Amino acid sequence: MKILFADPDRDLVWSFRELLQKEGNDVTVAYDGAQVIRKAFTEKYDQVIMSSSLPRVNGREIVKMLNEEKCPVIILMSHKVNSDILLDGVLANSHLSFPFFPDELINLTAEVAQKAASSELLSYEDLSVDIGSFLLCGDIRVTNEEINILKSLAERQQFDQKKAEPYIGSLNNKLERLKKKTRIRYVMKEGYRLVTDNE
Amino acid sequence: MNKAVRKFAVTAEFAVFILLAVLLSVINVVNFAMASDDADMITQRIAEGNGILGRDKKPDNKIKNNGFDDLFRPNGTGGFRNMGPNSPEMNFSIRYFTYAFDKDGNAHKIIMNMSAVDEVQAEKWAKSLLGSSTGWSNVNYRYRVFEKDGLTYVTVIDQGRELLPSYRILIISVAGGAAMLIISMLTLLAAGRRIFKPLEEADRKQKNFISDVEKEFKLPLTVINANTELLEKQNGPSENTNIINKQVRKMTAIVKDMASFSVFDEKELSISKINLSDMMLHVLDSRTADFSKKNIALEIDIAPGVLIEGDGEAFKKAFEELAENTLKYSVGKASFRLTNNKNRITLTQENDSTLPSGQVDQVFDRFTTLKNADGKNAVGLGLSYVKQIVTAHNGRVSAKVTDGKFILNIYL
Repeated sequence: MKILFADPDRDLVWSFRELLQKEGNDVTVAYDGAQVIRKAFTEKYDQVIMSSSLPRVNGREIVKMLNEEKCPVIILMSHKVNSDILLDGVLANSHLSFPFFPDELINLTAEVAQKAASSELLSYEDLSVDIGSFLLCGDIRVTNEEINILKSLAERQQFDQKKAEPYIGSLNNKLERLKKKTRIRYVMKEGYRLVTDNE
Repeated sequence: MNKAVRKFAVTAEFAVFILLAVLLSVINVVNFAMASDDADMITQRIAEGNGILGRDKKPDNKIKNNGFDDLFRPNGTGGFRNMGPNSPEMNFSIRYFTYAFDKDGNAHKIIMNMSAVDEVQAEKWAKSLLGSSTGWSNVNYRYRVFEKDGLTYVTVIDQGRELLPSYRILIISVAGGAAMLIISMLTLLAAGRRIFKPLEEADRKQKNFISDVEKEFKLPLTVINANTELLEKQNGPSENTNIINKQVRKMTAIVKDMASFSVFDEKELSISKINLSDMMLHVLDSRTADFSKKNIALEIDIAPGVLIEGDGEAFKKAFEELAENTLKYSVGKASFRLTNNKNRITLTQENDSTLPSGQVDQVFDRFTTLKNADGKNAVGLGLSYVKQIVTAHNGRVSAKVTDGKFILNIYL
């Protein structure tokens, strides 16, 4: 897999290039936003892993551009989860907050790649998720984590509720914006469930 | 922090107010009581003189040294001795009249030495006082009713001039007291600002420190993690990489904790109506499995429909921290109780504890940990977050240990 890894910290970039290469990836590196844009224009990457605070070009613009190229993006967050880089329309496919363990990034990379290659169409009541293009009901972009939650909910599988907690609110907002009748609700003694209001 | 300054100033001002009120009332009450006393001594002398001042035996003109007491009850002549009701000059300085009434109610003028009223008014006035014994009439006039030789005497003296200084002192006390309250309030506010400034600074520094540590440590930790992993991949895992891994994991957990607590800022509260009951039940319900895994029997007593205006996300996180804390430190039994008594919302969390009895409010301080039940490394930020959220919503927290029970109260 061809990966572009971008972060201003040279030690971090060097270490993760080594690690990702050991996993059998072809890794190109960049240290600022301008380099990311230049490299992403000249070559097609399977995935871009970049810091949320790259110098020179606003991360939001880069993600917007990569979204148009249909290139999955993983953001390494140095700030809060709700930073504007994740706002709708401009949405990374996943994010990881510092500090993290190498396994976390490697697993996430594989997970995102797998989803991007998938042609699975998840559907539940009035909802549909096109996993390959990270789209909810063909309209709003969802992240890797949000797809995982929706999938577990739709297929009634166990999942880590505590980890899912931060995403429930944003998912419900998206469902509301799509004017869908299905919402994620907390059911006592059962945990989160997809509930459809059919009056 | 401005809140703390105001609280300090108001509390201290209250103390100043009590002090001033007691002092000034004592001065004025004693002053007026002594003025009444002086007036009674004069009417007493009139009574002894059968209605006329100076008809009694002459006051003792010999100089007596009564020491300090002379100041308050001057006796005789010279110096202070000229000032009080026993002064020999009293005969020439008192405005008064005396009327005597026989059994049939006929009035006889004994003396009329007052120009504020004429004889008809004086007689009427005297008559109206029959039946009582002594007291104040028309504010400034002291009267005494006494029996002598089958007649009932009524004497009324004008104490207006004698009372004037007392009234002046009263007015000065009230005005001066008010001025002192205002001045002390301003002084206290200024002093409060000075006193709390270092505290505020310390608090800000601690907050900054947390976010600095979090910001500056998270990248290096990630790089160390990555390189330990690389070392293991190249040379296989060794005791050295194991130790590095273990220690870095510990640090990573601490930094992650710091990251999640450093983001709260009072100014960012987004207020809406939130249902505390549902929120608490939800949080506890989602941790049921964790509690039963640790064999902790949960007792839940949540009053339904407790509503509050506040930041939902912040409260939820605070409740989660509270549950997490209970999970960490409880052995055997733990309880959560939410009550709403006339809009006084109280959330009580109890669990068995081996700590000695006493107030343990320091659990709410940042980086303070008491003996941990399962010996895990705790950073001591969870409850400080709870306190921050509660105080940001004008609530109060307290924690104590009594009879082997840890009791945490949140008042909202």
